[in-house]
Amino acid sequence: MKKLNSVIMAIESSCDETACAIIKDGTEICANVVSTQIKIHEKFGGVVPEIASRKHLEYIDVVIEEALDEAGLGFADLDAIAVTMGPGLIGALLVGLSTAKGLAYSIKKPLIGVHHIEGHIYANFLAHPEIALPCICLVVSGGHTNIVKITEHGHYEILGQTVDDAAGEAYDKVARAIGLGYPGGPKIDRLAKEGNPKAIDFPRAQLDQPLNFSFSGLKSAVLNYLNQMQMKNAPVNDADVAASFQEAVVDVLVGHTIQAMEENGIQTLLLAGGVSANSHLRDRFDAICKEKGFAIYYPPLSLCTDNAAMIGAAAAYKFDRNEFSDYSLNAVAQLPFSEYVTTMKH
Amino acid sequence: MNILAFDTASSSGAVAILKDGVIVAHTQLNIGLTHSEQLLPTVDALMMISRTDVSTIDAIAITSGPGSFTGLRIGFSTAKGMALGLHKPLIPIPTLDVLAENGRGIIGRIVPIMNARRNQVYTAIYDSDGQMVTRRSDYQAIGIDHLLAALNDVSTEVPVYFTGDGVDVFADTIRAQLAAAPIFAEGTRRYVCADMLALLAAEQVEAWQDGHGMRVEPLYLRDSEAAVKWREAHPGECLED
Repeated sequence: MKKLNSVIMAIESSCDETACAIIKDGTEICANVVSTQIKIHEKFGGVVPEIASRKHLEYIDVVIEEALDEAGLGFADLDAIAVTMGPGLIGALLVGLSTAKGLAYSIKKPLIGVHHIEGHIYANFLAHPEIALPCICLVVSGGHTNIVKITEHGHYEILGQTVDDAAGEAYDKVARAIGLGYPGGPKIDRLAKEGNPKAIDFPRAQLDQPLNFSFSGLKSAVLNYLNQMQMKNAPVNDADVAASFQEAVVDVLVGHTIQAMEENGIQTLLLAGGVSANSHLRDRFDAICKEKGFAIYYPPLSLCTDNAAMIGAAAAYKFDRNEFSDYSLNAVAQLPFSEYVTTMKH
Repeated sequence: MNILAFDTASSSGAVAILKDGVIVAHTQLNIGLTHSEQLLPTVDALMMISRTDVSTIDAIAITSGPGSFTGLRIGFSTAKGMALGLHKPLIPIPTLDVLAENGRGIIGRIVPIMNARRNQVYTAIYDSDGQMVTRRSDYQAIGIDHLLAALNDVSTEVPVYFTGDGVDVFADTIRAQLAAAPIFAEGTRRYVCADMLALLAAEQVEAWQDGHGMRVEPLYLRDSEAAVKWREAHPGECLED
């Protein structure tokens, strides 16, 4: 277990939540403030980037002051300012990033840019500092599906990734097709509990690179099935569709991840990202890890969705390694984790 | 009294440092980099060259709009971060007021025009008697034809001084349609000058000491397109409820 010694303020504004957290020693959450904009975006049926950016600017200083109050700390107590640099909505990211830069500069503390997905991974270390390396982390979210091998902190090797849609993206598209709203993940998860996962045999894609994923074929298969049933005027059992779709996704995620662990002789698994909150995914991984004798960790539900605490946790390890960003740090809307990992290896 | 002033409202970027009444450093960049990449390194460089320690800054001044939405937010959020960190006031000053200062000394009319795309300009009309510059209209986003017609209505006797990046786009249109003689700002005076911003801020620093600059929103002048459409579809309802 790595001993860290730092107090880090982290700012996250990549989508529709303005968040600030203060993390001590990479493990203790001194403050975790989230100001959500969900009410205004609901009126549009999705996040409107320009409105999100305006709201972030309105609340960014408010969440920072609240975080300091909550922690009972002042700027002088901080060792660094961390911020999500991407991926996300560019206008939204820029508000958090620019604030963090102005703040770091004025209080003469280092600036640490963090990839959103690195934050999701470190939500695990924040909640479970005892995790021993090496480990395999399955990152599943609306934008990412990666199997990542972590040999030491900050050293990532991408063993598998999606070649088309992310897992969470497939959930959202299927949810829309069967008339569930946004976000699709939790809604399909709930509906699937009432359905038969073996009712419809949806495809499980196998690619040449056996640890890679493809979900667009599965998504199309679900849409085709719905169309065919409609043309035949046959009734559709939405719960069966949800359960069968989810089973296909989880089969592939579990299969590839366990294969990666066995091939690499690694016995510790982390789940990260928004889709890691999925109850069926957790149950299936719990069961197979128990059977194989693997250790499994996932963050508490409160740290699975976007938050600044996870950014602060990732930054605590970067602070320990003296990995700082300079003042020209820019926000990046499209920043695949695989690309970020490559650019980090100087 | 030391003021750090910067502008990120349009494609040019400007930074100035005012120390005890003297502009000790100022710069204007037109290098096509994003404000996000360029602003803080420029601030840092000017602070180093002018041997100014950030902890001695008494106020942060920025252009508050109109301008590019993203540019304005980069300026505001950088300034918010600094003002928070230093516990010093943030002084937002309308971009057009700062641009109008470029014509100070002129006897006639000063019309800053900023390229607002969609064949429009962000503008306001100012009178200048050689000493004082006084705003005579609202800040608005209007078509260039509309602006020129309004200017022709008022008076054709006095010279009209145009400044702002709208001149780059509309100089020919102005020459063709304006009844009065146009004067076009040249060089750095065609874009926002942060030294002018710092000097304007110095005049009103007392008024901002209570910290209410943190609560000022950018002068966007235009709503987001999504919000405009929503209001059309939901008459009488409030988006912010």
